Amino acid sequence: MRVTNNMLVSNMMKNLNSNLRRLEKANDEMSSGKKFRMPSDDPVGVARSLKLRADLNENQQFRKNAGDALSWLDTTETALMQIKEVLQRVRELMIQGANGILSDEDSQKIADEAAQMRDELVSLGNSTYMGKHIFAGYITDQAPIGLDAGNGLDYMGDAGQIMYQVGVSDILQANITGTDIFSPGGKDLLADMEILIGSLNAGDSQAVGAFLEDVDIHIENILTMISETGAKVNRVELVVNRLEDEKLNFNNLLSKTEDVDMAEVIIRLKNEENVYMAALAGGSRIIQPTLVDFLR
Amino acid sequence: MSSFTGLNIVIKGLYAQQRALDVTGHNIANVNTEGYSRQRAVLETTRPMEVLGGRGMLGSGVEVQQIERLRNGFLDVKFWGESSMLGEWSAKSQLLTEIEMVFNEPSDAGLNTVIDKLFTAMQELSNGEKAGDLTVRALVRQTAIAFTNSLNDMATQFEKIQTDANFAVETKVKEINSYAQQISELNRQIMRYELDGSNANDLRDRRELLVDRLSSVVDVKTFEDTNGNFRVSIGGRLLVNHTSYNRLVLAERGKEYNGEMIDVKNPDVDAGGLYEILWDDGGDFNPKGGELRGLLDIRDSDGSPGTYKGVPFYMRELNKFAGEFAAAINDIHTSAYGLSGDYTQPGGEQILFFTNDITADSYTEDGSGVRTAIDPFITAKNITISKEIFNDLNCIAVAASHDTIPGDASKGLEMAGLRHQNVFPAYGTPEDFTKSLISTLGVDGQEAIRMRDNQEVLVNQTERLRMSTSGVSIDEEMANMVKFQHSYNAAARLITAMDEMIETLVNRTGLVGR
Repeated sequence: MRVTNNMLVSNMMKNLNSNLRRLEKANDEMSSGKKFRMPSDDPVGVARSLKLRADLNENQQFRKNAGDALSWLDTTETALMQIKEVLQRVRELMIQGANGILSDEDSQKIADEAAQMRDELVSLGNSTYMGKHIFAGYITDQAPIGLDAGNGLDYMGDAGQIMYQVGVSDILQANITGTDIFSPGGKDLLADMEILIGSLNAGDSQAVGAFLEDVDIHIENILTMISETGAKVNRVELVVNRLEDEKLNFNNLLSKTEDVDMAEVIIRLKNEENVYMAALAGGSRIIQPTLVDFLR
Repeated sequence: MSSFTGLNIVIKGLYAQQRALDVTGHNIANVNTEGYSRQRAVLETTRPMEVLGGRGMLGSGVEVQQIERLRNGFLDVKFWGESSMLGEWSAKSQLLTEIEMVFNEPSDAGLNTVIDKLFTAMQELSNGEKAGDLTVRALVRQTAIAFTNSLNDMATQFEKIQTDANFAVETKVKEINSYAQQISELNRQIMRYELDGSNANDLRDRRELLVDRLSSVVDVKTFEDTNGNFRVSIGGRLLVNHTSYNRLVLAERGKEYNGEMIDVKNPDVDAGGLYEILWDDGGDFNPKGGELRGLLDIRDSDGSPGTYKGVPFYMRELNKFAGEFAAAINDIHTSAYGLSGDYTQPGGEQILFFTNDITADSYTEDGSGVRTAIDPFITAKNITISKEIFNDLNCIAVAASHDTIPGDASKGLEMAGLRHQNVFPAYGTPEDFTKSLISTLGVDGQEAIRMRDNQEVLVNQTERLRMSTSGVSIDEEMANMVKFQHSYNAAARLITAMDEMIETLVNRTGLVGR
């Protein structure tokens, strides 16, 4: 086949161009650290990368939700513990008060303390977390526990469930309502307290003694709540661990999908450079001489 | 037989070698001229003289019979075919890259990220007790605005791509008309020069170069009949017919041209001012290849079966996304209650989250004050948050009933849960939708790049064969130059010899004894 000088030049230019193109791609990969820039570089890889990024974002949100849930549960547990202590003090008072040999003055002092304890219970029932009442169900902007006309429980919250989503299908209820604490199974703790205070004021030690059973029921109830809350905390902590593991996995997969192997890219870059230099050197040698140089 | 016959023979040789050297000079001068085919003086013996008496024929010298142009017409036709395809896929791959940049994936600024952030903000609002927090509500409103802005932006950029392609179409059509005129002009000149049977070599080269350029813009077929009439047809119809030519005209869609209304091709998504290409007699123009085909496919084609997936396809998919996603969110939002005032009353829940006009109310009120939410037609270009949400954070509705405020965020959880629901019947979840759209784009983009690279190889190969046949080789011309120079020198030397012989005859005979 007949070959002209222009063909040599044209060929050399095309080869140099494709060398430079490969060099550019290798350089691109090295400086960005990513295997692809646009969907057309690797459609499958891009699709996978999109999914993993979305999963990572969701994972981050779930971890945040779990953290918030733990804070809420912590506050709940603290309040419940304090309520338990108050009730145990009440129990002590009742034992004292059930003692028939108390003077009126002593009964009065015990009654006063009992009233203080009652007020303390109401206050604890209105505990807040970040400005929101934790035992009020959905009505978090109002104090849920109040005293009605007969000093019994006036619950102004509702039965709403405060939910935290810590997984795609994992939604847990973190709250306890005021009714669960103050009126379990139809009994009314505050009303009972009122009757107790009345009995103490009246010096009726027998009536006081009869209420020991009720107090025990209330204490039992609170202990159950505390253990339930503890169980929820455990569950959330397990979820947090799982989410941390998932995050590691996703990051790993994302890196495998998106990132280049630096060592491999650098070697390829050096290789392409060598090929380019060789092409330049070789090409320049063959396009220069023509017959003109040799004719006298 | 004349005494000067010999001189005549040698003089003819002198002239012939001179001409041949001239042709060599012409080749060397044009070694870098685009589209030039090397020429060669074809030397032929002149008519021999009869020497009577059976002693044969005496040659009478040489003459240049013609100056022929070395060109392979078949390679030209092949080149024009491949060049059209290269033009088509070049245009397509370039525009597809622009579309990819509109989507801007994978990155931290693409559509997927904005959707993510919206869902994350929704989650933040719906988890735990934060449903009443105005700061978190502000976050939801902000990410929603970012989401709608993103979609608006993308729609606008798609329109821009259409407009840019439209402008390129206008330029290409002007180019075609210009080539048509030039080719017909060359046809006239070639016909004149070739009347006496000679070859108009350089003019033909110029004409073929014009067809080369035309072939990359549009698919081209040429015919030359025995009378030398040269015809060029594009898109199946005659562009140049010997010395006359037809023109293409641009008619704006949506307006009347010559009394006939030109339809807009994709009324729901097309940008304004797009051109329809017509022949000057009003006929339709349908290029089957070349850059023009690539541009038109990307500008007009909507991906219906058998057609290419151009900008209208992506715009429609984006509109589908915006519309159905907004509808799914609105469905839940208009059954949920806001935080305060009006929005906590029965009837106050009919507030849209997304709508198509930020100045319009979300609802209509009938005579007795009962509100019903409107059902707006939402596209990617017009999607926006509702007027109520823009003005008042309290109306972001996440509570299931009006007496569970502010702690109830169950509807908010539902809206956040749309992330994993099959909102789109044909695709699945919102993320599946965007993923599949981007994959389609990626695959098409990859295909265009691959086709373009393949075609480049084919075009280069054909070009190489053309150059092998028609290209000037400096080495060859140098060798020829030496060849003709030697012949010229030899012929001149012979003239000297004959001159001396004739001088002997003229000056020395018949002078005996003088």
